Amino acid sequence: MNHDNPVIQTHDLTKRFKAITAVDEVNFEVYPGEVFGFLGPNGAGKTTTIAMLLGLVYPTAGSAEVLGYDIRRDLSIALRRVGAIVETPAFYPYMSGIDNLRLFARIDGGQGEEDIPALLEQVGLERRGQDKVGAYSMGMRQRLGLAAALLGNPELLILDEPTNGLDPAGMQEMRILIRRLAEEEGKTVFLSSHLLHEVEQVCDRVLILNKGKVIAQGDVSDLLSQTRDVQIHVDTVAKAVEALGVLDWIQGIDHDGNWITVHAPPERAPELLEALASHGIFPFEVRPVVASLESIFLDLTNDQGEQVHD
Amino acid sequence: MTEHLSAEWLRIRRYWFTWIIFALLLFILTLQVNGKINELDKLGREIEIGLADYDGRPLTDLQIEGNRLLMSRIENDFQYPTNIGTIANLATGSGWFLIILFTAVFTGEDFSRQTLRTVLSRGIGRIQYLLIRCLALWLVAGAAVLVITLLATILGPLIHLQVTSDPISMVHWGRSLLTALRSWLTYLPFITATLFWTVLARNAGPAMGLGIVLHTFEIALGYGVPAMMLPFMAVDPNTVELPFLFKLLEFMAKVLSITLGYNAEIFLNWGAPYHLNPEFIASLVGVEGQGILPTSQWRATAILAVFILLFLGWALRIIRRRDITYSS
Repeated sequence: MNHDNPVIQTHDLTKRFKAITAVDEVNFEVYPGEVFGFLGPNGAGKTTTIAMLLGLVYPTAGSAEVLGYDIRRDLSIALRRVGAIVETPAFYPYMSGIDNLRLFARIDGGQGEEDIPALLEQVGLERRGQDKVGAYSMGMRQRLGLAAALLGNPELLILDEPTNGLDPAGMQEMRILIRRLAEEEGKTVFLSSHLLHEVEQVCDRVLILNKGKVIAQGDVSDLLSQTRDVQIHVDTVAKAVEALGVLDWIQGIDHDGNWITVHAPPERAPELLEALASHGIFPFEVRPVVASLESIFLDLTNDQGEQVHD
Repeated sequence: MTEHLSAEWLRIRRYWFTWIIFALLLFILTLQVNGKINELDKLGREIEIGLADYDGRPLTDLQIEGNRLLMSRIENDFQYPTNIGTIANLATGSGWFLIILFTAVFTGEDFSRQTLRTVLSRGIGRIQYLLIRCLALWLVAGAAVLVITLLATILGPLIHLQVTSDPISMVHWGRSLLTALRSWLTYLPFITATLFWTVLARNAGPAMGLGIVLHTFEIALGYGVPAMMLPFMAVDPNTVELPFLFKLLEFMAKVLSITLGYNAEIFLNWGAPYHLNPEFIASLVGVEGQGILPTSQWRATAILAVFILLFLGWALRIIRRRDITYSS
């Protein structure tokens, strides 16, 4: 991954709508060839950020570059090398899928019109290309949206919730396609989603946005390795809690039935077992808690919510 | 730019509404031409039997003279090839309404269906988007004028035979085609005005409503003011004190004289007497007087140019500055 020339770079990017700050001093970089996940609950500011990157919404403060071009000055040059889906892809319903793509290809300057049949095949719409878009299901529109985004072979794909409306099989196909575009064709994908397992499966790096602010970003593998809990199955919970309570490096203990969750690094599990054994407690099972992006996301967004609340 | 224009053209061709509007235009135009020919018959019949068709009263000499004046006007207008220009001119009657409707719906759709986001995120500038849209709509109007002109060229000799037994003379070809060309030019200010309302409202409905109401108001004013002025036509304002009503009419005439519809009519008729001008109406009823509505085609051209620049410039300014949010 080339970290010298980010494909997208933002500097304190901010958007305020009257009294509401939708995006608040957001900083991130997206590198060539990676799939970058843009996560956040509804209303976090994801679509507003994307709209700014595509020149649909003007930033109130800060700046950003897409493919090295400043979004305030030269964005139209950059957008010729960008394919995008913003929210639900919008098409002209009285035109066929092929005609809609033909129209967009002409708007792009006529590039890619000859690739339309291959693109329809790529997104699984080869048999429905002649049908009017008005008769398409939501999932078919999403597929057509991706085909429209891929017109002209762009270097960067900005996809806002691309699996919305797709059935599970369609979602899986879309994820495979996104990975393939990055790995085989070297495209950079900026993927906004609130489907955490989707981001976990597809993305190399992820940014979590909440209430317009960046609350975490980094490699997905790094985020997932932040496991800080150990679960222990014992028959005498109260005694075990008492035995572990004396360890000052433990951050807390919860229990649920015969399972206790110790907020401590998994690599110190032997010390926990030693403490339990010294009290004559011998667990049935000990395991580290494997964090999912979902749990990290919920932890972070809840923490921030509480902080804001406080 | 030509590719973008061809994209607009593709959409226009595929849009069912385009063909409905065009069919409506041809249907109304056919009724208008038929109406004029029937009117000619009716005026002639009235003179022949000496009775007014509408109430059966005997015609006065003045009314007979008026009928002759109107008949000669219709006969002149519908002789071939003059009738080519006349038909293009007549088409503007419904054409201006229909282009308001079409512009509002065709552009408003980009806001209501949110296709504007899809289009603009492909890297075309907002200014280019609106300029190409304006040009595409004007070219559509041009295509309609062209089809009407071709149809009139083919069917014109038959219409000629219905209004006169004089032989066809080709001397007025150039003038006719010029009228057709002028009729095309008059669609542009209506397009820019409606584009402005649509961009401002971000919706077809209010833009269509406003455009149609304003144009209807212009037409109503165009009929009302000259008709109400008739009684005052022969009065010399220097010798007689004119009532308040006349002052009000004078003000309304001033408003009318700067409206889009009135100036488009003046421009379209280019030197020919405006059919709603009090002078012309007065001459029909035998009253001589000074017309108070300006009828200079150059003044009309300047006003239309101002309308085009004002509305287009304003629409461009709005679309350039505004965020394209998902609520739009």
